[in-house]
Amino acid sequence: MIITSVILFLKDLLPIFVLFCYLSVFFEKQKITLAFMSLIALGGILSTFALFTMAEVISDLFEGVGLELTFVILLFLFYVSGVYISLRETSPIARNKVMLFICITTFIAIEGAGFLVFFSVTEQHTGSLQNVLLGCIVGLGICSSFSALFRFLLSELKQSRYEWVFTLLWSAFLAGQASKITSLLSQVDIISTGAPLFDASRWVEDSSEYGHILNALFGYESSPTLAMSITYVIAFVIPITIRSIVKIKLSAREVAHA
Amino acid sequence: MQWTTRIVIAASITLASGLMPVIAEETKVFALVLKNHTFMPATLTIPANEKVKIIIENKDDTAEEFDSFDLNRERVIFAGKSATIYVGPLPPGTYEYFGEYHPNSARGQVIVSEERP
Repeated sequence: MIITSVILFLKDLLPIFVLFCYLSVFFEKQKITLAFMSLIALGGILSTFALFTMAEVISDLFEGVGLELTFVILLFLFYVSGVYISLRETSPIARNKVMLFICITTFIAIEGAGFLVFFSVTEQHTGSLQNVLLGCIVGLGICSSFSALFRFLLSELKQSRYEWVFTLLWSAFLAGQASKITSLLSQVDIISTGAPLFDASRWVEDSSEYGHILNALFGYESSPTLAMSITYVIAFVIPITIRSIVKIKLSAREVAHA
Repeated sequence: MQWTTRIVIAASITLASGLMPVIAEETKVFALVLKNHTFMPATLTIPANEKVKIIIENKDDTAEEFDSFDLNRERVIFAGKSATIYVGPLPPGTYEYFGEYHPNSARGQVIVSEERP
């Protein structure tokens, strides 16, 4: 049970740590008030508990596809707010509050609700709660250590002349989450994704530790389908393209003012 | 409306258009039952290059998450409830699945075969 808890912690909660690494680098030069941080934390906790407690009811909605549709909507909201935030990183945080709130709360709800279901299941097995808590402590340690190193890397990239690598990584993170939409929709037969394009599992298996980390960072899938790949590419290109347009517009505006 | 907001909305519509639904073909139905944290039958044979519907019934008193990295499927099935997932079309091969909350006992495989099951 300890190993299961650690694996689930990495699978479900590592992406949240990765998101916070990106956001803290985006807004590292701005002061975020304690009140706003508390509001985001409260929003994250409430949205997670709301999804967790209503998951059983939601799963029965729309002929049993309610849960998938809910996750699709949340992932879409997360993607849109994530793209928006990355475009407006230089503007004061006060102007990004709503989108930042949506971005964090939706993502925590998506990733956290599944972990709470696991927690509730183990709670019913006497004696295993202690092992789950121990697994969570180990998982927290791994995620915290990874985040500290990853945040340092992102911060250095952002301040260096290789800022474009930071943009690529952020876009890949958003695209990885957005591409999950195709899996969810094909799981309930709303779209047809076709056969897998290739199989990279001989290099990195999805179930391995590297697979989990790559999935959290870039949405890695060892055997993606055509629909998933197309969605990934579109979702990857959108933030980069918009960022480039914004930069060109801003520099043109600066030249005009000068 | 600011122009950055307009661009984000336009981009969202572009992304959504890539996910337009298609008309579903008639599919074969298979059943899995979860009891005592064990999937029955543990081995399910489905046809190759064809989309199939799998109905998973959870007869345990706790929730379980059907998970398969090979099939790229993940679905929580609450206690005493059923869930439906669609898989495929897949090339012939063996695809592992497991119950995420009880991975030691709840395990099985989907065999995708060219021969008719």
